[in-house]
Amino acid sequence: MYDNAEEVLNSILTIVDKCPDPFKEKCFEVLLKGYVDAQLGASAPAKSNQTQPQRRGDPELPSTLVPATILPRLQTAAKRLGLSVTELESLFDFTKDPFGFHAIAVPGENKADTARKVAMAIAFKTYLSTGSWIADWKEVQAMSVDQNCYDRKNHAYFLRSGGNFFKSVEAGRNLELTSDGIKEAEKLIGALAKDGQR
Amino acid sequence: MTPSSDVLETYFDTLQEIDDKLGKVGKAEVTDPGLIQELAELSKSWLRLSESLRSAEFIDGAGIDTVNGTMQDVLASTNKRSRANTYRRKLAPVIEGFLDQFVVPLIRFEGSPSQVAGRQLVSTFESLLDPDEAKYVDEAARCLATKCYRASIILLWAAAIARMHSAIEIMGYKAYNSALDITLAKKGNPFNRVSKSGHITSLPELQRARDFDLIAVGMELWSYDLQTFEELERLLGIRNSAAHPGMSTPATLDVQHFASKVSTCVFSRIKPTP
Repeated sequence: MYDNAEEVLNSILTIVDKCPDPFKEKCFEVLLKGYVDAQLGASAPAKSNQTQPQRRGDPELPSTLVPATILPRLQTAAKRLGLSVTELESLFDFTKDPFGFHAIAVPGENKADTARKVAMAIAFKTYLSTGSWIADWKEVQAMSVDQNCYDRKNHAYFLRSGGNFFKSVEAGRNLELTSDGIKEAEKLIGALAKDGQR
Repeated sequence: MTPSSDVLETYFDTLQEIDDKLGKVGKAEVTDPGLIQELAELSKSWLRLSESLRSAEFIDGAGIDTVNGTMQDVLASTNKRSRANTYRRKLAPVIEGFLDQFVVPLIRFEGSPSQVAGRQLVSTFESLLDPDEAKYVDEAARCLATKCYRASIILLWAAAIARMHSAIEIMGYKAYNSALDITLAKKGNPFNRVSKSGHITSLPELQRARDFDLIAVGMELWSYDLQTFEELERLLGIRNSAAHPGMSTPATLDVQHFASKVSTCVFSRIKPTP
């Protein structure tokens, strides 16, 4: 470490000399810090990275983009689904605020099945952000349009049919998942995450 | 205010129903005064809706102009002798493009994550608010939906203070002043930070009272403990950071978290009872 310190310091001083007086001190500080940080980064032992979630290649560690309030639920869900955190994280775009899904294709045997799965996927996303297994009606409508499974006149009927997945289905009201619905939603998210890794 | 996608879907259903009725008349002149009235109403409703739709950035203004032209034409035709197939010919392009041009963009907008976050914020306070407090929360939700996070936090705190004010007004200023005296008699932090001249006898004085004093005296008034007070003080700090220039950069989740804490610490604990 610091093998070429003298040489680098001379270069820094040359650069600093070119700065206007009021900025010389700050310039020196910034350049020296940059050099020291680079040296520390290059020589740090591998084990010190264990506390840095941004380490690449470890599937158990999420990226630093995941908000702190979401992280515990993301980690718990990943464990429950038998997925790595990065596999589960890959379904979502945390660079956006509020976060949303990356481009996904929700599977389904027909329009009704796909619409129900859309609602389940959205409920999972809401669970990550608020802890409640609830799907916003309008969000389900919008994602159904995108997934080509929105049938204006039958949308509520589609959601009601196929099993007891939602506590109640009323047009315009949020959809809360039953325990069966939660299991189905987790199965769906697991499948989507694994599919995304292929 | 932009109409909802439900309103537009209902309008589209009416449009199709009228078109079906016109189809049954065939090529003959429309003489049924009821149907003529429905056509006139259909046109007028659209012209009213279109004004509100113009404020929506995600809807193509040129599309609105085209439909406006058609509907004005249809409205003018209702004052003349017109054949059913003439009406149908005018309405056909509107029916064909209506869903794609207006309904789908509106559904996408309403279902966008920001709009959903706004609605989630309102649902956090479901059945906890009186109409006056609801106005602040609704405005906070609108701010969140338009990504004005600092404004949203400030309005949520305003709702919390509105609840405290109304609770104090119902209890009476005497009760507040007694609670203040008890608080001031206590030693140490945070009691020694409460204003000593904080007695109030009127609403304007209450409105001038420091938020910190309210939450500290609140321990006596509403029987919450020091931990709840500390939580409220943290929330007040976040509110103050949002209201002043600085490096605070709240995001959607921060606002949602703030709302959830306000709901628990204020609206679930402080009930406006005498």
